Amino acid sequence: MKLFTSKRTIAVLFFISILFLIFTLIIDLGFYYTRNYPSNVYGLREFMIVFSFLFFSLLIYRQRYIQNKDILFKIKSLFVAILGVYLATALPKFLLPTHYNGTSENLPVLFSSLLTLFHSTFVSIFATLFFIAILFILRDLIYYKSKKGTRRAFLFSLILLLIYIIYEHIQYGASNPDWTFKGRNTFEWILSGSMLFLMMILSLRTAWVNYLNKRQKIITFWVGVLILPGAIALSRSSTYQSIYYYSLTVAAFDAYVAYFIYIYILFFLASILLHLPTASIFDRKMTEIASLHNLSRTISSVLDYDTVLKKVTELTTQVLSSDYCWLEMINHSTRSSEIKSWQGLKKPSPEKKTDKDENGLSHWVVQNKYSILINSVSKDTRARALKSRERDLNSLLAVPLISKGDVIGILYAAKKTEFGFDNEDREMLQAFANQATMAIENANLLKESIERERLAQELKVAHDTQLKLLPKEMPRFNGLDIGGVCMTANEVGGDYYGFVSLDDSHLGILMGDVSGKGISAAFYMAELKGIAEAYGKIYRSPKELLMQINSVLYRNTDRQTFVSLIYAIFDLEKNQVIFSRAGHCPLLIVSGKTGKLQALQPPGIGLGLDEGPIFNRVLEERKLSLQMNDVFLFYTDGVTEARNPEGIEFGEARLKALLEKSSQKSAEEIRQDIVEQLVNFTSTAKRHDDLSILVVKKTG
Amino acid sequence: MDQNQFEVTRQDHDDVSVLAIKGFLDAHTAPEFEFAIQELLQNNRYKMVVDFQELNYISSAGLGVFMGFIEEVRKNGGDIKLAQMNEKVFKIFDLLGFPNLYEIYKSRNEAIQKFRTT
Repeated sequence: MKLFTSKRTIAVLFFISILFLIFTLIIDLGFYYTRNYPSNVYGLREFMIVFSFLFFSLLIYRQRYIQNKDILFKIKSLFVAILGVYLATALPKFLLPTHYNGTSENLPVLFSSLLTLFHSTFVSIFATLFFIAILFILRDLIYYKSKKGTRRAFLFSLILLLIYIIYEHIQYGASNPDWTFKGRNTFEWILSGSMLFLMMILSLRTAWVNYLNKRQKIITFWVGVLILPGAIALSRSSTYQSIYYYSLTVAAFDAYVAYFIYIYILFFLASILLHLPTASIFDRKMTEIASLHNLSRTISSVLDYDTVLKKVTELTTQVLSSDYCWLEMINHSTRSSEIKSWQGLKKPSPEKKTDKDENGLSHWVVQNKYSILINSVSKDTRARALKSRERDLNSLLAVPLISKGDVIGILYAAKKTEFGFDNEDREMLQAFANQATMAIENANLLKESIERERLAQELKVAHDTQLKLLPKEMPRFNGLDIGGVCMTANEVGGDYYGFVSLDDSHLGILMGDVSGKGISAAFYMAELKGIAEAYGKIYRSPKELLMQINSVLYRNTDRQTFVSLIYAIFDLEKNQVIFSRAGHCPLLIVSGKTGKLQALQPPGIGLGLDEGPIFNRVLEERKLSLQMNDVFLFYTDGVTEARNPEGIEFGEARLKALLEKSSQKSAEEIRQDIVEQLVNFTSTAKRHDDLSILVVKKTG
Repeated sequence: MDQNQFEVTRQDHDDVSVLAIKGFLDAHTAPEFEFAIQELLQNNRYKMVVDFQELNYISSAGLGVFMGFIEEVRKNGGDIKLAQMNEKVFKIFDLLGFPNLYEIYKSRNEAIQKFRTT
C-alpha cells in the first residue's frame, strides 16, 4: 500500500483512471455511431472501468470523513451518501428524456439515444462513487468493537460478490441479467442466498448502538427512518437499469451495496428500538461511572478542604439529578455538626448545632453507621424536623462518610418527588461517599500539615521575640552581684525578667510569667516589658507600680490571660529591699549572717484577673533590710514544676535546700548550681514550660 | 500517669449544677471543661459548683477557664464556687490569689448550701 501513499503515484493513477473513463466513453460513442461492437473490446472496457473505480475507492478511503471514527458522524455521512446516490440516479431521470431499451438481449447493450448514453455514464460514475463511500461506512459500523470472525465474514461476502460477478459475465455475457430474482438457476439462487444470509449475519453487528446516549439514539433512529425509503428505492432494479447499461460489474457491485445498506438500516433501527427503553438507565450508569471517575480526579487535583466539600455536593446533584444535596460534617470532640456545603436548600442551616435530636436523621446515621433511604419523607418520624424546614422535600437518601470506623460526615440527597431514589442509587451514593471521604481526609491532612507549619513558624517568631525582650546581659550594679537565666521550652511559655535602673543606688528587678503560650504570650510579654519599664521610672513604690500595671493589663487582655509578677527595688542607700508580689512564686531569701532561708509570699492577686478594687485591696508591700551576703532568688513556676521522666516535680523543697547549700557562692555560681541540678533531675523528660532564675547577692 | 486524662461529670441539685472534674486540667483538656460550662450557660444555669476532689493538676490554662466565664456568670446572678481542692491544687490557686476572687469550700454540700442562703 506504500506505493499509493506517495502523492506522485496517486496523481498518476488518478490521471490514468480519468483517462480510462474517457476511453470508455469514446468506445461507447464509437459504438453508438457505428452500431458495431467488437466483442474483444468488451473485456478491455470492463477492465478499464473496474480499475478506475478500484482506484477511486482508494481515494475515497483516504478522505478524512471516512477516517472519522465518531458514530454520529458516520450516521450523518451515511445519510449524505444515500441522498447523493439518490440524487445521482433519480434527478437526471426526471430532468432528461432518456429511453432505455429494457428488452435488449445482448451485452453490451445498445443505447437508443446519445442522451441516454451520457445519462448512463454520468449516473454510473457518480452513483458508484457514493456507493463506495456507503460500503466504507458500513464496514466501519460493522467492525465497531468486532471480533475476528466479523472481519472474515465481511471479506467472505465480498469474495462471493466477486464470484457472482464473474459468473454473471460468463453466464450472461450476451444477455440481460435479471436483478429481480426472476428466472435464475440453482447456482445463482445459492450464491445470492448466501450473500443475503451473510449480509444479515453482518447486520447483526450493531454494537455501536450501545455506546450512544439516549439523545443520540433518538437522533440516529430518526435519521435511519428518514434514509430507509431512500435505501429501499435504491435496492429496486429500475435504479440499476441505467448503470447496468454502462457496466455489469459496476451494476452488480452497486446492487450488492444497496441491498446490504437496506438490510443493515432495518437491523440497526430494530436494535435501537430494542435499546431505547433501557437507554436512560444505560445513560445514567454511564454518567455514574463518569462522575465517579470525575470525583477520583477531583481527589487528586483539589487540595483545598472547602473546595472538596463543595465539589462533593455538586457532583452528587449532577449524578442523582437530585433537587437538594447537602453535606453535614460531624465534630466528635464538640459533639456538634455543621452543614458545610449545600445545593438547592432554601434555608441552609449552616449554624453549628449540638446533636441533641436523638430521633433525627443525623443521629440515626451516626449511631448505625448505615445509609437511609426514605421514599415518603412525611411518613418517616426521623425526618420530621427536616420536613418542617424544607416543605417541598419528599424523598431522601442519606449515606455516612466513614473514616477509621467513625462517621465523620453525612451526605444527603433529596428530591421533591416521592420514590425519587432506588437501592441502586443508595449503593451508588455510598460508593461515592467512600471516595469523597478519601478526598476530604486528604484535604484535611494537608490542611493540618499547613497549620502545623504555620504554628511552628509562629512559635519561632514568638521564641525570637522572647529572646529579644530578655536582657542580653546582667547589669553591673555597684554592691550587687547578679546572675540570671531563662531556659525556654520548645513551646514559648511566657517568662520574662528585666531591670529598671532608677539611679546609682536604686535598682528595680522584675520577673513575670504570662499565662498562655505562643505568639499571644509573646505579645503580652512585650506589652508588660513596655509598661513595667516605663512606669517603673515613675512609680517608686512596687505596690503602686503593680496596681498601675494591673489596671492597664486588665483593660488590654482577654479574660483568660493573666500575668504573675514580682517587683523589687533594691535600695543601696538605705540598705533595704521593698517588694510586692502579684500571684508570683515566693521570693526566697538566705540571710548572709545566719544562713537561714525564708520564703516570702505576701498577699497579691495575679495581674489582669481583677479590674482593681480587689487587686488593690489584697496587694501588700514588704520592706526588708539588706545585709552583706544576703542572697535573693526570684524564680518562675517552671522551676518547681519541672518534672523528671517519672512525672515527679522538682518542687519547692528541693529548690530551698539547694539554695541554702549554695548560698556561700557567687550569684553566678548559685545560678549554675540550680541549673545543673534541674538538668540532672529532669534528665530526658521534655520541658513543657519556660523556667527562669534570677539570683541577687549583696556584695558591698 | 496519663497526662491527657480528664473527665468532667455533671450533677444537678435543683438550680445548682455540680461539675466534678477529674485528672489533669491543662491546655489540652481545657476545651472539654469549657464545653461543659458553655452547656450550662446555654441552659441558663448560672449557679455552679466545681468539685476538685479528683483533680490532680491544674495549669495556668486551666485557671484561665474560670476567668473566662466568671464575669458572665456573675452578671446573671450566679457564681462559680470551688470545693474539695487537694493541697497541691489549692497552693496553685493560692499563689495566684484566687481565694480572693472565688469562694472555696471544704465540701461540696457546703458550697451548694451557700447558694441557698445567699
